[in-house]
Amino acid sequence: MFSPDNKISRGRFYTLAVLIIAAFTILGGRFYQLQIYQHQKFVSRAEANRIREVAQPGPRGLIFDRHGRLLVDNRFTYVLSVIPWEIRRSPKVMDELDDFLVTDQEKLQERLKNSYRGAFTPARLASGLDFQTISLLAEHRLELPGVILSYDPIRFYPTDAKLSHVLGYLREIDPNSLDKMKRSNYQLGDLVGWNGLEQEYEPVLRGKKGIRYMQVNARGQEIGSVPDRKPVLPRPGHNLYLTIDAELQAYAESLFANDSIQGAVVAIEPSTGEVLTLMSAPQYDLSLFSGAIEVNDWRTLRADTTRPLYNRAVVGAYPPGSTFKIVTAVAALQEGIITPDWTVFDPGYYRLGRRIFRCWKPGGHGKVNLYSAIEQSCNVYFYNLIRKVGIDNWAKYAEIFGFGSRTQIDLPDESPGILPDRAWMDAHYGKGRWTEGHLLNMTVGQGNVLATPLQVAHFAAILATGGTDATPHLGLAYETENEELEKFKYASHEITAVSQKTFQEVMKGMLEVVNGEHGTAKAARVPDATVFGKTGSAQNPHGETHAWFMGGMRKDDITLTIAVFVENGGGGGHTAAPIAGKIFKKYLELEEAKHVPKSPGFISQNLKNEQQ
Amino acid sequence: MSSNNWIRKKIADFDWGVFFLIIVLFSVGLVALNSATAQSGESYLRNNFHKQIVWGLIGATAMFSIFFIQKRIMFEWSYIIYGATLLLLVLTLFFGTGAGSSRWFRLGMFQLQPSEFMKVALVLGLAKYLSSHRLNLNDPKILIVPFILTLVPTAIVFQQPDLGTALVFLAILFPMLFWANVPLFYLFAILAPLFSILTAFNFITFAIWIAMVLAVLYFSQLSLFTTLAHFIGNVSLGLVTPMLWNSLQLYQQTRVLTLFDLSIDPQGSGYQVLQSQTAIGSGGLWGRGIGHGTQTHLKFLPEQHTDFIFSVIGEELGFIVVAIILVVFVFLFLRLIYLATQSKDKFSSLVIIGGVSLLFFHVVVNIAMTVGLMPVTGLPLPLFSYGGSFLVMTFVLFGVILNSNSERIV
Repeated sequence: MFSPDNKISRGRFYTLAVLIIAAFTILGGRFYQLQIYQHQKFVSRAEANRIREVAQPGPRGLIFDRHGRLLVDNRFTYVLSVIPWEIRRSPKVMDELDDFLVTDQEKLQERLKNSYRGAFTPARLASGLDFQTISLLAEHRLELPGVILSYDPIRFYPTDAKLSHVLGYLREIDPNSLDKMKRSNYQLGDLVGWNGLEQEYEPVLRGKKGIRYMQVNARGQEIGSVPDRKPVLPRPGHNLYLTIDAELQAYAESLFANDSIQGAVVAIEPSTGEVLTLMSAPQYDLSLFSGAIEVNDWRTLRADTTRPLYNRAVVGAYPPGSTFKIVTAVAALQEGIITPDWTVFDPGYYRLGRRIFRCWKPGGHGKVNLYSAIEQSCNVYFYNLIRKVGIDNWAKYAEIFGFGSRTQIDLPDESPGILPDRAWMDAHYGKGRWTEGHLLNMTVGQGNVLATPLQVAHFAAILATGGTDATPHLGLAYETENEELEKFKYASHEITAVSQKTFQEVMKGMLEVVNGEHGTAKAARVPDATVFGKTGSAQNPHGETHAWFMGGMRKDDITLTIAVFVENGGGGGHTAAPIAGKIFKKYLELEEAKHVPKSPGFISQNLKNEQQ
Repeated sequence: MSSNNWIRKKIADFDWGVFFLIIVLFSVGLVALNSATAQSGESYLRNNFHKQIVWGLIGATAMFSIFFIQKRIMFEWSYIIYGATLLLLVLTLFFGTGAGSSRWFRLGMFQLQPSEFMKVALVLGLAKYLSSHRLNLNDPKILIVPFILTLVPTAIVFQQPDLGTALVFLAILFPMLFWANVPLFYLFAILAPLFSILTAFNFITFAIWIAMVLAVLYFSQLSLFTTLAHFIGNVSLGLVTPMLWNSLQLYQQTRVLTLFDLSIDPQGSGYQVLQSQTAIGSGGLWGRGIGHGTQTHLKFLPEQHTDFIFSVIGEELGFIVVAIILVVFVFLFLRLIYLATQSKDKFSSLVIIGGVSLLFFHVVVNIAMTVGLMPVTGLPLPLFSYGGSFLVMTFVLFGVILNSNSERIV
């Protein structure tokens, strides 16, 4: 039976009551902490759970030439990717894909391996698919689980001018540079300018990403947009206008391509530093890089012994040959060491101690003064002269003309060349271990002197203007949000260390080079225009002599200075000068035809309007 | 006494206050379950809502039926009910079904979970034994039977393995011993080893605990031998525990460890608790509105119709409603232990205390789990969580409690 004697002490009741109240008070306090005190923190955590920010790439800025001709356009390419994890679950899909893509299984597997970034990350198998293939694949998409069709923006090059070393290309950002660029809102998989102007003007060209907010569930599936969050619209990048004249550029490229020769051409408007043509031959096809480059194409380019990827005009540094004699001439005149009438007899050789230095012309040039020495490029005259000038004076003027340092052109990886002054020689050979023999070599642009074709063209521009040192550049202007053109500004200054008289005297010699009876660059002549120049034939221990021509052309207010470099081209007068002459003529022809703009965005007019 | 009269008296003893609180809690539970199962395209979940209503009706019927049983019969059948339920529980060892653990029992189209009903049966069994006349409470031997009654089902569910239910059985035993006027030192002597184990992982907590043990032993004025035995026993237990800990299964360790640091297992129970806290915290004062909880409806909240149903309330109805529910629970439990003091017989009083202990443990452990104050043990929330056996058991328990409160004068 029950015991009716239920003697409950009040103490036990209160003990349990206090325990119950205490437990629920703690729980209530915890809810207060989470729901009131830390409310905001958990709201943002819940929002972060359900909202996925999907980046919308902003279209990259287009690139135009100085006359508003489109050089780089944006297009879309169809891309086929697969999710590796899904493919592993249904391997049949890969067998079916090779029929659709008309390729063999091995190639597909290789591409899958190459583009594998993780089991759930889409791996790209093919791009640039045509519309027919895409529609066929879309029709069968239910039978192809794990296959994703999408489109990617790619660069498209609609002009004849290849401009491979000028424009550069885009590449997927790599994890190393991503760390550095994270602040600027880059993500893995973003395309970034990897070379040339695409790299240099990345901040201008790059579009601003937009954001789409998608609601996702716990499995990560997108289940619609988020109504209470406005998407951020992507903003296109700025359009870029170049100083390049696409027609002149294409013409220069064709001169090298038709003869299958290697080398470089840099043509500059001397008073402004605007580069109208910058080319390195051989070129390569930039459209190879417009999407993801095929590994085989890349290997072929890398293995090509003519080194098409190498920018000879800006990155390559070569002995400048006799073009460098002008430096010695300027130094001697400006320092008052000689007058132009100072004469030397050239028997065809020059003896320094027990060594014999030969002139390029067997038998020699006989009696020569400064003008004829430049005209005929007499080595012996300059051997004599450099011994009077000395290395310090010589290096001083070479430095003034920009040798041994970068011109600061707006292209990546520019080489400074080498200007061997006394300090350099001491460091290189050891103090007292180098002789005047080295100096004799250097005065004719041989030995340790190295210069880029760009530096030589820049030198020609200074000579043509009588001392205007304008930074060579390719970027002319960019288009602002208000569709106005904003011109880039570059440094420019007048060289005062060299007198106008000195410039005029060397110019007299350089005019003779083209126009004189014995001139070495008669092939550079242009009817009705004034042309000056200097040839160079730089001996090259690795092969055939390099051919050089530097010079300028003027007719009325049309001016152009140029450096032509032909790798292993032989004599400068024979190989390089005719190319320069053709480019001068072409430029005159283009300018005199009062070139009718093809695009309403005619840059020169816009700029003129702005100035008014 | 005519039967008509008896029924009238019985109804007069029905505690409408408790009944009202039960209805309030069950209704809010249904609202939350409705929201948690209102997922488009997942009909099996939707069915759960309707099933819960059906189970609720069955449970309420059972509650009233049990209420109208004569208390004397309940008392006399206590051991039989205990024995029969234990037999069912033992049978699950051989015929049970369930993923990974065999706690279910298939009866035609229903699945029965005997361990749920074992909780009620244990309350009855213990109440009957502890209310016996012949007990000399000062004799430690009287603890033997209650411990056997408790530890046998505990051992069975522990090996299923169902750690949560095993803890529920222990949570029933100690308050009932306390309520039966068992000397407090006995309870201390039994519980002390447990604390020795819990504090053993940290030298300072262990040192403090042992100091407390020494103080209690000193004031209890026991023989030197007993004092030494207790002291040495607790100290050596504290030394052995860390070694035994390392022999535990990894998932068992993890379950306990997530209590202390959520980052140990971000995709397991720690992840669940994090999502639950996020749901509750984002609810704020007024909640995000029924059907508008993103954690619930985008399925970030795990087990949202069973173990984490209270997180749905936290997210969608907010702090105000949560606080009201907590207060309702407090009222319910205080009312019940008050009724236990009013019982004229010890059996009824103990049944009520056993039932309250069972419910209290479930409620506190479950809610504390949703806010990350306790590890994920898988104990459902009475009157809220989806689950047929558990809901019916809860109503049966209320039937037993309300019955115990009736027929005050024997």
